[in-house]
Amino acid sequence: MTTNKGTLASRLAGLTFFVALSLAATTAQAIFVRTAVNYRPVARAVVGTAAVIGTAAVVGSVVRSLPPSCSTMVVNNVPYQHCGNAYYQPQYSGSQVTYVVVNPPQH
Amino acid sequence: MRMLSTSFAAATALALAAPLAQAKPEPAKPAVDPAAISALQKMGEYLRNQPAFAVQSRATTDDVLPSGQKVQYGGTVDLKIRRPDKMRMDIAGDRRNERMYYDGKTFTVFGDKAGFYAAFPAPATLTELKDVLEKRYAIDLPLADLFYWGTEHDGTAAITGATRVGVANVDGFMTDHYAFRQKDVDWELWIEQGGRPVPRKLVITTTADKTKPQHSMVLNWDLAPKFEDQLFTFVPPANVHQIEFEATRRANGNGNGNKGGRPQ
Repeated sequence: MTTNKGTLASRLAGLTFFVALSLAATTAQAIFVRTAVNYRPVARAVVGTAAVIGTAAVVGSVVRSLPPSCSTMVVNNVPYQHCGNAYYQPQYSGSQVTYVVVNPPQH
Repeated sequence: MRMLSTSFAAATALALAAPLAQAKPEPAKPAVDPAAISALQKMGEYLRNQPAFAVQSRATTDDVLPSGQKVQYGGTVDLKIRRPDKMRMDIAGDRRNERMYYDGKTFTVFGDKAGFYAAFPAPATLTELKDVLEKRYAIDLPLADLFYWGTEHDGTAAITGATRVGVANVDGFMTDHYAFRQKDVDWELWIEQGGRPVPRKLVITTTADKTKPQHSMVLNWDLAPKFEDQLFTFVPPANVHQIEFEATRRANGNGNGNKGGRPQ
């Protein structure tokens, strides 16, 4: 989806620290901006993108978007995404859905 | 004739030069015009005195592609507030769609496209909620800062430049146009003239980035709204799942004895 996180994040290292997940690069991030003071339009989230990482997903890591070809499964009323060998559990990071890599859910 | 025109030209030149010559000794306008700061404070006070309101924000936001090219996204936020303990927000953007609910007991964020929601037992007032949202959940409430001008929590200290630019018509409302500067950010605010000093437009320019991206909002206010109570309470539709906040998950799972660390 978005492949520009790493570069910009490092370019704007000074700014990105402040940009917690809720201030990820989305329209609402900026709409959410607390007026002038905290506005960081081009600063990037500290989370990665699964597709960009491209290597084996590490349990506990957080991504903002899923790799292609995932299937949804619900275990104990918890929705998971099964993508390749990895399982992702959605969560709200700030007001935005991110996915944390988890161990295979136990049925 | 020639003489006349020459002397006329000379007189004109003198007349044009005179104001310049006079202007020189005048003291320079202070970088921070107290009247501009005062306008911010009056706006803040007026907003704080509204028991209920609905405001719609139409926003555009610049982003920068890896190539360095600037692109613009759009979106709207509909915010409904009834003090002291009701809030509803509907966000619809190019990259985002979600709703937030607060009914004095529970705060919920719901992404209808994703089909997920997360909730926590909320404090009793909007003021406390804002604090919890920011500190614990990394959720900033839109426009909230506008309400703090004129309080000890405002951003006056950071302002290095403040001036009134002039008068402008925003969506049919006559406004005073102000420009402010602070570190890394220039911003402009259009405040309605007359007895309702609400912000009608806001433009923020990030000067720290060489592309100087902007975020712009035009605000439409309803200061006498009629809200049904059910607006503020989230009722999960069928086929949506409740998920956790990352903050809650980390608090529960990091083994530091914070188990069950639900916010209050």
